[in-house]
Amino acid sequence: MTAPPDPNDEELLPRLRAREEAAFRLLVRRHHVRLVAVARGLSLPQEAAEEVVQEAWIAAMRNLDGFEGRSSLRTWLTGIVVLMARKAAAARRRTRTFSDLAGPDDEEGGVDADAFLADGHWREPPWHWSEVDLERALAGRQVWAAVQEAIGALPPLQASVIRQRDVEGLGARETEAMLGLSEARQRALLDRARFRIRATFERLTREAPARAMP
Amino acid sequence: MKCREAAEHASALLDHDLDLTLRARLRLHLAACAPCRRFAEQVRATRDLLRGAPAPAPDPGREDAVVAALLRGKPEPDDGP
Repeated sequence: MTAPPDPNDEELLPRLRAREEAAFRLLVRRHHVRLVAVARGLSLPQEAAEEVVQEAWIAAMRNLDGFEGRSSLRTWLTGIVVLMARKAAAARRRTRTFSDLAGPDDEEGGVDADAFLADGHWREPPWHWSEVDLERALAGRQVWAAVQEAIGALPPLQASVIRQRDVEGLGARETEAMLGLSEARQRALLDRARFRIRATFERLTREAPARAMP
Repeated sequence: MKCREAAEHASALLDHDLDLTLRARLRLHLAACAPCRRFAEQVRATRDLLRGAPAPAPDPGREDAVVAALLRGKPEPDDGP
């Protein structure tokens, strides 16, 4: 016997309106980390992002009647977080120094310049690895755990964009509407994020023989 | 097209985000260059591995705090700062 699948967000609505703890918990578990990443991408440091998202949860659940189902609950929640995070980030800019803001290294990390000779040819061609090698290198760890770890190590804006575009599979236009990043800006951030994660996977597969099985 | 430029466009290729000329030049390069083909294939594999990855659960302490705040519900109007 398999357990019934978790209800999707929309199926949870009546239970959320009834303020059922288990429903709140399921929704928070499903979206909290992603929403914090969205807030981080809007120039909030980790702790401030956590605070904003907690406030956004309270505002959202208090105003569930205002959710009309024209978008998914996920999109609606993200919109609330974006609004509140922008406001919080603007308030911080008025009172803090720029060094306090997240993400200067969002502009870094295109293809590795060192990988190429001055004439534009590969200095050292990419290491040969595939998904199978990666799974072997992870030695029983979930690939998804490694994926999340790699995303977590990205600069905040890159992490936010790659979550929306590649993990959630949202389009450029929807992401622009949610995060307020132009398609060109998303392009640059998404490229850098994918290259960095590819490099992380390459490193994992290269290092694999070093940590041999006991 | 040089390898470095080909690598830089390998991600945009996945999203059909290159104009026709650039895409044609890139495909020509990839057809002739095994290392770049490998790189482009790995970028694609990376993108595919990300799809649908479940978000990690929040720290249990954080999750409890948020749920508790939700259960407390509406703060009194003069409750906040």
